[in-house]
Amino acid sequence: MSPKDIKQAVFLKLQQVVLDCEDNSLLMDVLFRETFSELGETGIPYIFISAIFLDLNLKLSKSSFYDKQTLIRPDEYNQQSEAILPQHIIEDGVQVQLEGNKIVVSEDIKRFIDPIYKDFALIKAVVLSPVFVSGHLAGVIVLACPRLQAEITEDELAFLEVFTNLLAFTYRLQATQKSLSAITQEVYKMNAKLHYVDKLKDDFVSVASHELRTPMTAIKSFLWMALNRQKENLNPDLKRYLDRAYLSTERLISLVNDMLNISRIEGGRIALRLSDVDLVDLGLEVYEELVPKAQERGIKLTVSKGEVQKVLCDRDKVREVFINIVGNSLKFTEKGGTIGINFKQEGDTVITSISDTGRGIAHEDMQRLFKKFGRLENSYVAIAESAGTGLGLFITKSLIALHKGRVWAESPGLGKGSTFFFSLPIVGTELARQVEANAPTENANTKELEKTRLLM
Amino acid sequence: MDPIAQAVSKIIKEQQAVIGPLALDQAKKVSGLTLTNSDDVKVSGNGKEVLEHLVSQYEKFFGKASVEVCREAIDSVRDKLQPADIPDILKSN
Repeated sequence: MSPKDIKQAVFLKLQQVVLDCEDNSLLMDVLFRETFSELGETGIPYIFISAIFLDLNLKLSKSSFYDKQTLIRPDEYNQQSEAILPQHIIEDGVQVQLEGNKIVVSEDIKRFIDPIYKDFALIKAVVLSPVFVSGHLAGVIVLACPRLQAEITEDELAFLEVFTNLLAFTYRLQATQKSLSAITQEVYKMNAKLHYVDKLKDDFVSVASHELRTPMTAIKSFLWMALNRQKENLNPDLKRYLDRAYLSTERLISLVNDMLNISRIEGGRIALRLSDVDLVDLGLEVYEELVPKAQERGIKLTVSKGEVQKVLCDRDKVREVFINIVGNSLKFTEKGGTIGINFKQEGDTVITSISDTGRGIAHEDMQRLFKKFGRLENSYVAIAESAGTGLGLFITKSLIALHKGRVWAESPGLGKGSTFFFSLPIVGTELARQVEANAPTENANTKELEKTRLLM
Repeated sequence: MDPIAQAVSKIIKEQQAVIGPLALDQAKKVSGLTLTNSDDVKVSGNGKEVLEHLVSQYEKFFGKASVEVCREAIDSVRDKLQPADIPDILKSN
């Protein structure tokens, strides 16, 4: 290899050192160590290499020093001052800038190096290479050379200039990463505060919901008593007002119950009592409970009785899921429509589907379906009629997620019905083992779910 | 899941709540930790050191505030951990 090729290889190696360095705080030190070593290898040894970095007022802000004995000594100005005299270096660096940014070689050793430096006698020349960042003098690289100025070739100086550019790039990279790191830490602090406030909000919702429910239950009871007075007939207007007040109170109690459930799920205060569950049996149980309401509304409710393997789940929680989804279908299906509950096995899971011939869901509304208060535009009429809270599907999704299952919906469009699906892990599968290993267990803070009440 | 793995899982989940998916990426860099998600955690070697390295990994990028988040995260499993298994950095001030 020619000397030029060797220098190019050295430069590429040093460049790789910069790119490979994972710890940003060590970047400059690693580069210095490698540079010192590589310069020696290529036959252009130096006694020490030092860098001083300046702030915008040309005051010393950071320095590094490296020689064979002392190794790297970053940011130790006092120790470094034993070897170099920064003020003269800064003055000459500024002079260099004024004279056209050229590297300076000087044999006036005493001007730059303190004579008490242990290897002072070996130094024959000093090379000063200014570092420019964005057109400003950001520092000076100082190399103590054991050869006279005349022995330093143009080729060597050209190489040192390239190395200085790499150092300038590294310095800038380090400064950028340092400021990025500071920003990251600030953003983290803000996120952590938001997270804390979010927890406080959850606690507030939990406490406030509890406090709201007691008086509302009393109001509901008094309204019921007023509506069911035996002794005198209510005038029709008053009865209508009381009916509306009673329904609104029921809605509010349902909303409070749903908010309490969400608060408990999100706060990790719900435990899963896992057991092997036959979903078809559970589906039939839900069918028995809801078929009177379906008949009352003129809707045909069916359950397929096919065989599927048992799933690992909390029976009561999954019952809530069934009530929520089938309840929604009952709300949004017109008289004469049908609702069917079906089951099938797929991989490690049993997928339950609940299909109806109801109002359907517009494609653009699918994204909002399982979000908090994600009621859809076209469902407001039905909500007003049926007193939903807009939280049922969010609770459904949260309960299924605790079982590492999935819940989703499909609909050909408005007026064309919809199908809701949820998956649960089959007993004995890897997925079921994962659910078992990570299921939230009962502790002092555990609460029961408030039961879903269908308000039709 | 053993208590150390539970503590690791709690820490990662709490960090995820603050910084999202980055939390898992940083945890994957910790020697002695094998994980695909915050629920699937395997700890090998010295559990105390792994916990310490995990906290340090977050501290390196996100600063002191992240250490506080780690401390709070393990509060619910602190009783299950042997006192000798809790690195100093996770001990309450």
